Amino acid sequence: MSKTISQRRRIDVVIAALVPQALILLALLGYSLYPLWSGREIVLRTAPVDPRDLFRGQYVQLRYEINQAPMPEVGVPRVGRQVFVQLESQDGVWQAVETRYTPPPGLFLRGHITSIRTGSVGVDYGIGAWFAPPEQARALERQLRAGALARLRVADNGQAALIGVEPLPEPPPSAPPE
Amino acid sequence: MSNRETRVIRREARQWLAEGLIDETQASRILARYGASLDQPDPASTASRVLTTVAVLFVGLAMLLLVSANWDTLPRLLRFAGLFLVTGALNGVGVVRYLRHGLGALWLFLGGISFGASIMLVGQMYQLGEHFPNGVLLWMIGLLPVALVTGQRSMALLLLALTMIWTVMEGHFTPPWLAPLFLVPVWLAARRHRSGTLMGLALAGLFVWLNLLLCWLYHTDFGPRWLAGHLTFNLALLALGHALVARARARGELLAPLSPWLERLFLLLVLPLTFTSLWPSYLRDNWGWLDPGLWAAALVLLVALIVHWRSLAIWVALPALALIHGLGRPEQSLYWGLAANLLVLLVAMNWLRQGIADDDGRRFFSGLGTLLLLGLLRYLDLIGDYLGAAALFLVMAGLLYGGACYWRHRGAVAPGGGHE
Repeated sequence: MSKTISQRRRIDVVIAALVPQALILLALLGYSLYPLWSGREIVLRTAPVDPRDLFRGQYVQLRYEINQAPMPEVGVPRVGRQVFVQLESQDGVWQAVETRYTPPPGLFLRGHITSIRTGSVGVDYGIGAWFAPPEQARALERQLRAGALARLRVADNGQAALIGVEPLPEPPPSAPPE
Repeated sequence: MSNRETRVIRREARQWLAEGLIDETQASRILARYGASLDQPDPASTASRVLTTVAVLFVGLAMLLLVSANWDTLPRLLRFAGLFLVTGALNGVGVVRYLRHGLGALWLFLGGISFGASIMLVGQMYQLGEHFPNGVLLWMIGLLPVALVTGQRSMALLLLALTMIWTVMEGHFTPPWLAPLFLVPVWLAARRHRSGTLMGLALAGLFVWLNLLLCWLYHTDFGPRWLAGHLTFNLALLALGHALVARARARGELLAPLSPWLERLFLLLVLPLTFTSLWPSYLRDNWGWLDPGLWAAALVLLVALIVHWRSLAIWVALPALALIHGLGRPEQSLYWGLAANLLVLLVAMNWLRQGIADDDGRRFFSGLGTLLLLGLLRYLDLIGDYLGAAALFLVMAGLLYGGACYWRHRGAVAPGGGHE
């Protein structure tokens, strides 16, 4: 009898040891879906390069104009510190206007300082990678070389999810000479 | 007694047992005299186990590459559900086999890789580019309970590899405080399986972690830094490693077989110091008595003293590091370089002597090889001018001949220690 209980207990322990794996996967899925379900859509200016991630395959690495954000007016900037970058729309494309250590009013992105320069800080928002099959990633890189617009959804807490990358719109044809 | 001789005795004892010449108790008692036991695996089964584990690892890598291929024609949730179910199935088979036969380690190992692939799949599908070390940390958190409960070696190794990847990557952004938590199952698995290699790897992981913490003691607003104090700290870690292995050799503990690795580490760290060109920057750039690297080294040496106070490495490192930080000046580089050359020479002579005394060919040739390498390096890279280098060679020749005479004399006076 005691052997059965001990065996039962052993089964419970081993199964309990595996439960965190399922919970982590489901929580990660929920975390990834949160800005897609609840966020507001915005457009940012970006430019691509094409590397490979060792675990997740080929991707187009995106560098945004807002990766260089204004230096926070108060507080000491430090590499790795969390910041909130306030955004403002200019002709339908959103630009960084202010960097703070606490959430500002209005629309903002949450990120971490990656570098410090005179008058500005480098910020990573976790939206720098667009994963695609290898051929598609290479084609996208060629297509977007002249610059691109990235479409995102931004949740209330500043968490962003990348939902699309597209080429810059063609400039309107200039008027023929008289 | 060398590992090879122990293996021969174990094989013989098994043979006698099979032929009925001795019973199991007698076989166990005979083997215990040589620090061996009947249930230790023979080389063939070890090779088979290692190859099987590597084969499963390759299947896991194939799984990661399949995920990397980015199957964007399939709906996201279908891809996630597929890999989630594969992870569950692999772990399920592993659990059943583990509970029934105490086996199933490789299924759980593959399940662990599949779990990691699932995390990477979510990152890929939802374009998560934020702080990549967090993905690896989630993988480690998921594996931790399984590694603790099952105590399997393959799972411990996977966890150790991930911990090292995470520690180094996270170390760029914040001090990786959590790493030792994930080294605990590795240490437990090493003890459970009496694996000196696993224990040594856990120790190496701990040393890497300590180095990164020291980087954060030196950090500025621009991030962590590697400075001259790291060399001081690693020389102290080398002395601690020596003390641990010396104690293990004296007591027949797990770390004893790591002695050859310690020799390689010694050469890796100290041989560069035999070049005088390295010393000016080391002596100029350390922060003297105020260097956190020196105080961290002092703590490490204190631990080494507690572990095995008779270890000679501690008593060499302690005054040397104090002198370097207290009195060292860049203009003394020549003397420090000379001291490092003589230290390598004495250590190599000792290896050579121990190799002969213990009939250990590997150690003998380590000593001989180091002596010849040192000679070649000094012949190519002169210390001082030609006359200075010649004087150094004569001093080293004198030491070598002195050692030879001393051992010949000891061999002659020791009982039964005659020589030809």
